[in-house]
Amino acid sequence: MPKAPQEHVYRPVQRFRRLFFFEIGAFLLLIARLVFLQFWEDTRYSLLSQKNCVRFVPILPQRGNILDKEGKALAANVSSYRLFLENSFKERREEILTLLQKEIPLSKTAVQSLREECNKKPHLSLILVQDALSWEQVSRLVFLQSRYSELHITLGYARSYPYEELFGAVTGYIGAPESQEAALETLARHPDYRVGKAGMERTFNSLLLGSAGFRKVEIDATGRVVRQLEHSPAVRGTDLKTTLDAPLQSFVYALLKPYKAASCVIIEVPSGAIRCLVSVPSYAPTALSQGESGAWRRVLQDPEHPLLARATAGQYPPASTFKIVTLLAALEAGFSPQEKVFCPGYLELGTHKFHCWHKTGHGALTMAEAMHNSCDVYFFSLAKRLGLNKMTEVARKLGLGEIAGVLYGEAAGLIPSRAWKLLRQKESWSVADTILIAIGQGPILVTPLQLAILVAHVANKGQRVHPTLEIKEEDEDTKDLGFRPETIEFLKKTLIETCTIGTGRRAQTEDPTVVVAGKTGTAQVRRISARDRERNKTDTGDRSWEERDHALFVGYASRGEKATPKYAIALVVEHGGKGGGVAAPLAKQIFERLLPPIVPKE
Amino acid sequence: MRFFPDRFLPFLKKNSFFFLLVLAIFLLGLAMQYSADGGHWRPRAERQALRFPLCFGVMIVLALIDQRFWYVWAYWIYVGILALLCLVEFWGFVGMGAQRWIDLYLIQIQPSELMKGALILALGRYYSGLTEQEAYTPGAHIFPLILTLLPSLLVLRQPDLGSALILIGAGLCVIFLAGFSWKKILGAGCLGLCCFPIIWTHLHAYQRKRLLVFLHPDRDPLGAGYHLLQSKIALGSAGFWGKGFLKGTQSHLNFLPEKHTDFIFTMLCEELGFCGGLILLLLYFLLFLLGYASSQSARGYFGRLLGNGLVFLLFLHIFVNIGMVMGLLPVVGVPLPLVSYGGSSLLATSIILGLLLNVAHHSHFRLGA
Repeated sequence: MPKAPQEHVYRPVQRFRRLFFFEIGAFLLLIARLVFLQFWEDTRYSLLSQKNCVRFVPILPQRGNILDKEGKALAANVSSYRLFLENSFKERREEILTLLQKEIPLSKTAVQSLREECNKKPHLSLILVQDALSWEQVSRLVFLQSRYSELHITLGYARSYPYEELFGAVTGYIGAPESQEAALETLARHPDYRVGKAGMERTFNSLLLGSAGFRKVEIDATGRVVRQLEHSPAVRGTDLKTTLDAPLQSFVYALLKPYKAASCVIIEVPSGAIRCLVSVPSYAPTALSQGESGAWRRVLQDPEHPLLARATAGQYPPASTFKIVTLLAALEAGFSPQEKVFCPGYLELGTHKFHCWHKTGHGALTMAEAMHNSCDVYFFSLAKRLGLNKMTEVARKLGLGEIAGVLYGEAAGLIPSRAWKLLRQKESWSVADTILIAIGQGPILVTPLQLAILVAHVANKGQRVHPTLEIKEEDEDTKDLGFRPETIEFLKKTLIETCTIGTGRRAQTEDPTVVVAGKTGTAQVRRISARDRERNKTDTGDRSWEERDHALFVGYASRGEKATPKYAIALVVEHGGKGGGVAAPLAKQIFERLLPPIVPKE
Repeated sequence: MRFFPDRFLPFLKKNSFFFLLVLAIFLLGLAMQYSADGGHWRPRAERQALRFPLCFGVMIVLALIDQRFWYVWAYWIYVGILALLCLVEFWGFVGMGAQRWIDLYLIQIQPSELMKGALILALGRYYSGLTEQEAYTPGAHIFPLILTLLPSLLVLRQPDLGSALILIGAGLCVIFLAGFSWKKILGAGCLGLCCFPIIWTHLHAYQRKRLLVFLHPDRDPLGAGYHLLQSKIALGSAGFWGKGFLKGTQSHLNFLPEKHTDFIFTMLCEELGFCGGLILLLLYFLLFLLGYASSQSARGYFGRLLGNGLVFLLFLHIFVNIGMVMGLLPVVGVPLPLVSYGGSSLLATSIILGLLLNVAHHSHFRLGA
C-alpha cells in the first residue's frame, strides 16, 4: 500500500466545510425560531403568561341596608365570624374534619357533605365550614388554627332583619344564586355571594348589591398568592329608603296576628307611598337568609304557606268591594243615581234565583242607598243592563287585574273576559256570569294591593296614584283616569255615607274630624246552597274555618274631607267572616292609629 | 518542561479570546443560576462558581498535554470510561430517576458525560490510522460503528436518551467526516425510521408521550405537554428586552420546570429577552468559529478530525437543548454547555473545550496517516 503523500490535507476537505456550514444553518434556524416565538406569536404567549400568573380575586361589596321612612333598619348587615377550610391533602383534611366535628361541633351529615365538597373543589380553594360562629367557638378555633394553617377564620357579614316576621314578607330574604343566574356574574364564584330571593331584597337587588371590587394578585404554579398587584375596593350597595312605617306596620301586624291569615295594605294619597304592607302569617327572614335548614323546613311545611306574601300575592274575590267599580261604570255609562230598583231579596234570571245577602230584601232603593246597604240585587240589575265589558274596562283602569310593579312576586289577579271563559272553561259567557261579576264574585280575583290602589285612585279624585315602596325625589306627574268629576264626587259621598250609616259604619272613628270612606266585602268561599237557605243558614260563621267567608274592607280616611294626606287602605281577613263585622272594626282601629284624635292644648 | 512560564504565557496570550468567550458564556449562565434561585447565591450559583476554576484548570491541563499522549492513549481512555459505564450499570446509584451517577467519594460523576470526549478521541485515533483508500472501503466503518453504539446502548439503558442520542450523533458525524458515504448515513437514517415501530415499543412511556406532544404541541397541556407549553409561554411573553433580570414571571413563579438545567435558555430569554438569547447564541457561534478555524489549521489528520468532531459535539448539545426548549425538537434532557447547572456537564464541557484547545495548541503536529 503506497504511503500517503505528505500533503498535510489530503482527505475529503469539503466534508469539514460542509459540516461547518450545516452548523451555521442550524444556528440560523434556531435564531429564526426565536424570532418567530418572540415576535410572531408574542401576543398569544404574553396573554397566556398573564393568565398563568395573574388572578382576579373578587371582593364582595356589602349589601345596602333597607330602611323604613324614619331610617330604621328593616334589613342590615351584622358582622359574623365564619370558618373556611382550605382544601389540602386528604389525610390532613380528615384529621382536621374529625377535630372540627368535636370542636364546633358538627353533625355527621355536615362532615360528610363537607368531605364531598372537598373532593369536588380544586386544591387550595376555600370551603365554608360554619357561618355565624359564637365567641366561644371562635376562641377554640383560633387555638386550633395555630396547628392547622388550613383553617381560616374570616370576618364576614350576615344579613339580619331586626323586625323579623313583621316585615318578613316585605323585605324577603337572600340566598345563594341559582346556577343559571350565577353563570352571568363573575362575582358568583365567591362563596359568599348572595342575591335577593324574594320581596324587596329581590325587587331592588341590583341597587342593594353595590359593585364588586377586585384584587389583582400574582400567583405561583401551585396557586399560592405571591403578592398583590392591584386593589380596587368594592362599592357598598345603596341603602334603600322605603316608604314603610315600622311602628304602623307593627301595630297593624299585632292587630291581624290573631287571625290565621290576613293582610293589609295602606297607601298614602296622593304620594302613593306604601306605608304598610302586612301579610299574616309571615316568616323570620334572618334564619332563611342564613340558610338554616330547620327554619326552611318549618316554613315549607307550614300549612298556612307563610312564604306567600298575601298582601301582594294573595288573590281573593273582591266581593262587594267591587261594587265601587260597578257603580263607577254605571254612572259613567249615564245611569241616573236617582233611579230606584226594588229588591225583593233575589233576582230571578230564567229559572235561577240570584239572592241578595239580605234574605227578605231591601225594598226600593236608589243607587246611593244600594251602596250603603250593599244591596246585591240593585247591582245585579245594573250589571244586566251594563254588560261585562263596561265593568271590566273600569276595573282595569283602576288597576285591578294587573301587576302594579311594586314588589317582586306580585300576583296579577284575574279580570275575566268572554274570550277568557271560552278559552279556559270551554263555555260561552252568560248573563249570570256578568251578574256575579258585578258583586265581585265568580271568576274574578284581585290582590289586597290592587284593592288599595283602587281606593287610592278614588281618594285621589280619579287621579292616578303611583304606588311605590321607594322614596323618590321627583313626583311623577299625575294623570287623570278620565272619570267625570261628578261621578267621583258622587262615589266619594256614597262611600262616606256607607261608613256612617251603611254596612261600613263600624269603620267610623270616634274622632268627628276624621272623615272615613269605604266599602266592605264578604267573599263567599263556598256557595250557599238552597238547603242552607231553607235552614236559614246564610251566615257562614259556624262553618269550618276553610269554608268561612273572607272579610274585606277597602276605604280611606283623612282629617277633613278636603285634607291630604289621605290614607287608602285594603284589608283582607281570610275566612274571617263578614266584612262589616270583622274587617271594618279592624280598619277603624287602624284609622285611629293613623289619625289620632288631637288632644286640645291646655 | 511544558508548564514553564515561557511556554505557558504565550499559550494563554494566544488563546485569550477563547478564554474570554468561555468566561463570558459561563458568567451569563452563572447570572441565570443566581436569578433562578430567586436572587440568591445559595445554593446553586455559589456551587457552580466554585466548580468553575477546577474545571477551567482541567481544561488548561488537557490543552497542554502533548497531543501524542492523546493519540497513543485514545483507545485506553475509551476502554477505561466504557468500563466506568459498565460499573454504573451495576454499582451506580440512582438519581433523578435514572441510574447515571458513580460515586468517586470526592465527586459524583456521570461517565456518560466523559464518554462523549473519549468517543471522539477513539474515533479520531482510528480514522487517522487509516489511509484514504482504506477509509473508503465500507468494511472499515464497522469498527467505529461498534465503538459508537456500544456506549450509546449502555447510556440508553440508564436511561438517558439525550446523552445516547448525542453519542450516536457525534459518532456518526466523525464517521461521516472520515469519508463514510453520507448517502449511506442517510440510508441508515431511513432504515432507522423504518424500524421506528420496533423502537417505539422499546421506548419508555414518558418518552412516547414526549414524542406525541412534539408532534401535537397542544395535546395534553397540563401533562406531558406542560414543559414545552410553559417554555413557549416564557419565550413568547418576553419580547425584545425581556422582563428584566430577576423579573421573569414564568420562572420565578415556578411555572417553568427544570429552570436551572435543561430549560435555562428559556429563563435567560424570558428575563433578558430576544437580545439576551441572541447574545448567547452569538457567543456560542464565535466559540465554534474559533474551534473550526483552529481545527482547520491543524496539520495532522488526527487533530483535524478531533477538532471538528468536538465542535460538532458542542454544537449538538446546544442545538438539541435550545431546539428542544423552543419546540423544534422533542423534549430530551440535554444540558446547555457552560450554562446549565451541574458538575458533570461542566466537567464534560471543559474536557471538550480542553481537547479543542489542545488541537489549536498543537496544530503543527502531524499525527495520523
